[in-house]
Amino acid sequence: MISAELLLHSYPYLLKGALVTIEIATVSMVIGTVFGCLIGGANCRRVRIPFLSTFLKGYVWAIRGTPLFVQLLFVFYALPEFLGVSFSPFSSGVIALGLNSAAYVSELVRAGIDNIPDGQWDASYVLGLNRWQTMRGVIFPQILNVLLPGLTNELTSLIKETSILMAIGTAELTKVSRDIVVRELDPVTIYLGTAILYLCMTTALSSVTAFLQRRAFA
Amino acid sequence: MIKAENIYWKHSAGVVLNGVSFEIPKGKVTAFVGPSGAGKTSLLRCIAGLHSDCKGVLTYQGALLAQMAPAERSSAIGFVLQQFHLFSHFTVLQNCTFSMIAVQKKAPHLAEQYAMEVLASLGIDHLWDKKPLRLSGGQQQRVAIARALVMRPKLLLLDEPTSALDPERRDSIAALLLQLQKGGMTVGISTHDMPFVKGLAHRMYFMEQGAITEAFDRETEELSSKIKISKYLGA
Repeated sequence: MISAELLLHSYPYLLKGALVTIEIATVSMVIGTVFGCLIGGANCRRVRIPFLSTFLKGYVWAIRGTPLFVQLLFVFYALPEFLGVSFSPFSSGVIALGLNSAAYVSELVRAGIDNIPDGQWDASYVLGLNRWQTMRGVIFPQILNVLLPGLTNELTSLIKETSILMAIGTAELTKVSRDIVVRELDPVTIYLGTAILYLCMTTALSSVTAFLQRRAFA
Repeated sequence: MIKAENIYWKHSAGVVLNGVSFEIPKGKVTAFVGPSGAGKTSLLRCIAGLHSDCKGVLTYQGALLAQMAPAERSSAIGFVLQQFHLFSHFTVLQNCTFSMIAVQKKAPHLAEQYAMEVLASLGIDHLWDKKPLRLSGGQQQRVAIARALVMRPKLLLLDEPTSALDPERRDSIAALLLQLQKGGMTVGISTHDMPFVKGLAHRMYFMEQGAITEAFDRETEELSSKIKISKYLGA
């Protein structure tokens, strides 16, 4: 049975957790999108930078081939041993999610760039544009149309994946809801409320990107 | 204007240009003719710098083309690709102004003003706010020519300029190229459309299997002295 009273009473705490989720997701999205675009650009067929492209391909391969949960545990527990500095649960979560997202976004970007006809690069070259000008002014705007739906999926997944940060003690939405369930012993009400909050966040993100896509390509 | 000695280029499928030497004289129309796969397009691409690994000596007004920076080369040589490859996210005007602003560092309003002048000279200024995908093949080609011309090149190269055009538009592009040539522009064309070049080209090079097998200069030679070109022209 759903308890409306418990839900109302718990919502301030859940919203606080949702706010942390939004913060983590936003910072991770920025890291993922910026690094994803740079890595995707460096890995595309027409750019290929010796050594760097090989290294970045290895990075994408490793991230895509291992579970996000293991990556998170690695960043939180193993990385401080290498670097000699420890990260807070929040920072660890942002680093793990951001780097994970970057690998997936880079593949979207790389595939988008590789799908642009070579003639666009040739036309840019004969007009005297350098690689950066070509990428920024000619290629990238043309892949946005195909990139946005994939990027929306990736960012939506990112919001949902923040829930695994519960494992390292980050006070995000899922951890807050679990703590309330432990205290109130009403999983149906609390987890339903939690699911609604996640739905609100992912729907808002999808709506914003759909709006941007409509405006950009009207 | 352009002198080429012993140009050699190969890709994974084999040798495409095998020791080609030629000259594109200043202020004239030069055509590279011959069957498909003869190496005409590759030759123009070598001149435009798109095959940076081609061997041999290519000079532009005495300067080695290989040593020219892309920005410098784009102001000397304009190249209209066979498929035009206009930037589909830009309007016609933006297609023309983008490289002027990015490469030649022109102020946007001056770039727009000059681009509109060039578009008007080609009779397509009314299309300035259209996206390329909404234009016909002939209009797209004129935009591609305008995009090359705004960089004020001395040499304009066109790869198979009639491949996407009906006979009426073919005549119109021939008239346009003659008009440009009379205005002082040097023009280089690759084509297998003989009726098109017949009255247009001052100099012709006949290409077969990556080599120039015959050259003809309309001002100094009789067409009948050139067996292959004359046969190809149907003369």
